[in-house]
Amino acid sequence: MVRYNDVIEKTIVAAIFFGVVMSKILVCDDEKDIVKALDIYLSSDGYEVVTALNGQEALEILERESIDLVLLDVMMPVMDGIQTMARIREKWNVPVIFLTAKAEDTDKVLGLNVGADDYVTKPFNPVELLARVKSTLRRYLLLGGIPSSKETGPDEMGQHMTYGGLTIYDEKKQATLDGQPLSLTPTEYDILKLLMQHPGQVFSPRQIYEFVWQDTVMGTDSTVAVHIRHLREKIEIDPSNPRYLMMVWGRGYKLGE
Amino acid sequence: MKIKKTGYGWKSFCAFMVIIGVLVFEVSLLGIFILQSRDGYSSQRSLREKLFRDATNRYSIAALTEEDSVDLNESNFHYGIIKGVTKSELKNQELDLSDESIYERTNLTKEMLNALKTYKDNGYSDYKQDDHILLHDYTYGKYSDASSGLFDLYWPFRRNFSYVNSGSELTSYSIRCYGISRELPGLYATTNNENYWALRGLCMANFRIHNQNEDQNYFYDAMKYSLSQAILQYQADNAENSSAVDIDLLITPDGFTDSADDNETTQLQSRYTIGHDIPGSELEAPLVPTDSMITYLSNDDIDRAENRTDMEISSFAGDLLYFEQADSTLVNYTVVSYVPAKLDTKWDDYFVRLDRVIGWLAIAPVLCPILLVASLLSVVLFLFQYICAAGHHTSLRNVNRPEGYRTVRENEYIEKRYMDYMPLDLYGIIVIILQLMGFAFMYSFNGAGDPFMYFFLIIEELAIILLGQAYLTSFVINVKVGDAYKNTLIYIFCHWIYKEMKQSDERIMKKGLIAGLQRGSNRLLLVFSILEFLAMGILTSRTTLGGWVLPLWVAWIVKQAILIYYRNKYLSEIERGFDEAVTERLKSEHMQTELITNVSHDIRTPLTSIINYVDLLSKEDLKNDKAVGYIEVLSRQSLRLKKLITDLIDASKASTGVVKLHMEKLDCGVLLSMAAGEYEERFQEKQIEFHIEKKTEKPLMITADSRQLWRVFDNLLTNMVKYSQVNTRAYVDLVEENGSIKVIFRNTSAAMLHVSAEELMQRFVRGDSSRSTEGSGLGLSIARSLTQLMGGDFQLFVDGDLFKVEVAFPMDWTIPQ
Repeated sequence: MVRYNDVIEKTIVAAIFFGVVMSKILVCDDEKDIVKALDIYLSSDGYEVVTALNGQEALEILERESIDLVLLDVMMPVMDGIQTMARIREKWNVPVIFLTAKAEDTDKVLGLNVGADDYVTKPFNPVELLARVKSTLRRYLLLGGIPSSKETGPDEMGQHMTYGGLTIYDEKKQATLDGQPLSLTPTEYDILKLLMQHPGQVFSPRQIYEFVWQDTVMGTDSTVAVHIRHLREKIEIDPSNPRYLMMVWGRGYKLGE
Repeated sequence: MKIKKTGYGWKSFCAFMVIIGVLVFEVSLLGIFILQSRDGYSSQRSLREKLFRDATNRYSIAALTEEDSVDLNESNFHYGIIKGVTKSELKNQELDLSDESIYERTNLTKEMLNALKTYKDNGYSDYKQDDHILLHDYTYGKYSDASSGLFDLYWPFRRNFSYVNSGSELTSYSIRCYGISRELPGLYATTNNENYWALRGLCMANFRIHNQNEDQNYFYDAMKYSLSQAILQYQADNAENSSAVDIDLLITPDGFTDSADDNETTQLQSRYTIGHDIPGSELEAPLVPTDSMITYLSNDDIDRAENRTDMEISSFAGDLLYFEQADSTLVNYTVVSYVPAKLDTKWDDYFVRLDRVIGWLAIAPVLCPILLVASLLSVVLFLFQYICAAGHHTSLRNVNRPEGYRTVRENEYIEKRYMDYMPLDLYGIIVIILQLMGFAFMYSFNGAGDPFMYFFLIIEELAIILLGQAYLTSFVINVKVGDAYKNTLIYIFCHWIYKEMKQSDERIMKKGLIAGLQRGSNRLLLVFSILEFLAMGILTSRTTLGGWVLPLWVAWIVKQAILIYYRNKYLSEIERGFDEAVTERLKSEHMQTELITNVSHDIRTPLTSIINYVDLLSKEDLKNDKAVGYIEVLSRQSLRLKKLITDLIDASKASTGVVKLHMEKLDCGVLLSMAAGEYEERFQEKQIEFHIEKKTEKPLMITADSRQLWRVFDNLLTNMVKYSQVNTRAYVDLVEENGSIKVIFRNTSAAMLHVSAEELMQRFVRGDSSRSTEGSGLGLSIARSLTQLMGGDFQLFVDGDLFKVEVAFPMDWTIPQ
């Protein structure tokens, strides 16, 4: 017997994967040049783009049309990004990525606290931005919301653990990010699994080494750091600014916040 | 020659040898001194003579009194007791000493008796005889001998009858009453039939006080003499006597008991009246002050007197050597003492022991100097050794106190023990006081040669030497660690004053104001006030200022008040000025932050557009090769501009201190390994061998901001990757130095370093003077600013092609989890 829901889900997944479904993205920035540039980038990647020059306009557009993602600047006249963000969150659950020249930590924290899903600073790497957009959309459409804490449970691929967009399937020793499979070495998989089992907990390099290699570490060894770096490059959009594999300098590594 | 410096066994051994050496030195010195003073050098024989004479005297008494504690049958002492004659009478009568019948008691042998015949024929001369023959004479009678001496053989004051050496000076006093003088506490007066005498002390012995009228033996005299009369008499007697004293108080016995018959009492009971209102006297005497000595006449009454609550009781031993004899009962005895030359060592008696000691003393004149020199040499040797070795260890016990040790070389440290932290001047004073007390205690010992006493003296001497040794050790260790002058109370106090003054001065000097009438913080003011107060107190109580005391105090209080008032006034002004300065500073800082953020934002926005459009251009399919080339340049330079802006903002933030630091404890080694992991591939690409080495066993915990420290390491490692020569080695070492953790980055520079270290640190200066490679030139500057902001030290060394950066942070000594 064919399960109808399964088929539909798979179609949607496939469609998203191939970018067939046209996601509509709202770009909001007071700098016309940037808006134009973003338009070109996103369109060339297959998205439908709608533009606004300030927060007010953005809200109006959101009322009228169904938007799948918002790229929002912070410094804008009439209504700035933070205010806009607050208003958006009052009514809609649409993912928002802040795109701004305000690069201070305080600004980032403020933006994320207000409800943004992501924060990209200017000047940005266009490739990175596109990857982020894609990732956010996938995550949103697949799971239906802001990434939550880990879930476990069986699905058709077996027992799995999830954190945000990351999922690992223990029976098959495989990992996926936003649905896309990752090719990890066994060591990398082990490290990731250890971190995923205790999200938010800091593990020192020594602890990771002892767990994965089952041996005591001698002296100052950077083996773990190298593997983490490889892992980061595979998982993260921007390895220098990781979202999953966080580095706690002087103490170790952890998954997530 | 290498001096062995470590090992607890060795150090203890040296210390032990020093102590023993000093002891032997002192003993041999003492020995020489004694030998000199006693003319013991002259003749061993004469010494033996003298000592034997004393001994036989004592043994004779023991024989006479049939003393139980001495078993004469098990000794080398032989005697014969002749009753009724003195020594001179015996010689006059030419008694035949070989006749056994003349003796009342004897244990002389036949040979001895024969020898005595020869002795007598030689005119009772006891010289040049190998056997020790001596005559002792005694008088037996009723005595009360109040002599004291713990180790005396006599014990006569327990009895009514006793023996005294014939011919001794006998004085008799009848004691009527005695008084206490307040002026010279402890001085007593006793009457001798009408005179008052000063006594050195009074023994807790049975007193025989004779009634003037009756020649009876009572223990206590019923006071018949009127007190006032006695005093007047005394004063009259001593009118011309300069040492006359005023008597404040008299203690009189009220009654007595007859020792012989306790039931018969002629008076009520023995008790004493102390204090004023003595009936019949015109003396109004105050109560006895508690620190003067009160004596009691009775031994029996002691218990009852001790239960009294209105007087202090102190016991004492004096030497009141006053005898009293009742002529009618005197009997003379002569004891012939005979100690054979060949002592029977079967009996380990006094003579045998004496012989042994004398034997030793024979070699003493030779032995003592040898011991002296030998002990001196060994002391010097071992002391030198000990001082060299003191404090050295191969490993540290307490890593957490870096100020308490010094690293000499690898695996050799000098570490202070817990006792070495005591301030040296205080320690020294305590040691000296204890030693003086020990000496005083030793001198107060005046026993007559009991071996126990010598043993005790040696123990005490050892203790004194030990104290000195302990102090020497602490002192030497402190000097070696370099702490000696700092570890004194004086320094600590002065340093504290200096810091307090400096601390308050800085605050004041920042404003350019000169402090009020008195510099210093509140604490300093308090300490000086207390000191002045004490000084004032001592001054006014000691010297006789009379009426000036009160005005002086008032003047001081007024001066303090004025001081405090003016100080507060100035300080509040300073406070105000300071607050103004602070607000201004905050304002300017705020402005700076605003400037930085606004400028950065304003620059970033157009830059974004540039980068974006250049990127889009590059994606266009251009047929013009030159255009493609131009676009490449644009792309590269715009990215460079982006990096430059970011670095510039960071540098300016770091140098102005706008960065908010979140200092925490972190493991430097872990951070380094995490950072190194990031760079491993980049090093491999340039074929640079990258080594991290931990060169210390100490924990690598420091206090810093983890993110900023990561940035520092990131910058330095980036530099290493960018500017190292291909195919060379790069090192990062973790060492510990003087309580700081140092991270040393070393690499071989690819380009020639024309500039000096200081110039390199300047902003925008890079080693490659053509400035054609990527990079902004701010890396080092940012790293340095951040390091210094976190309280660390940043040093750069350039030597030919060697490029070395040292980043140091103080170790965090709190226990890591």
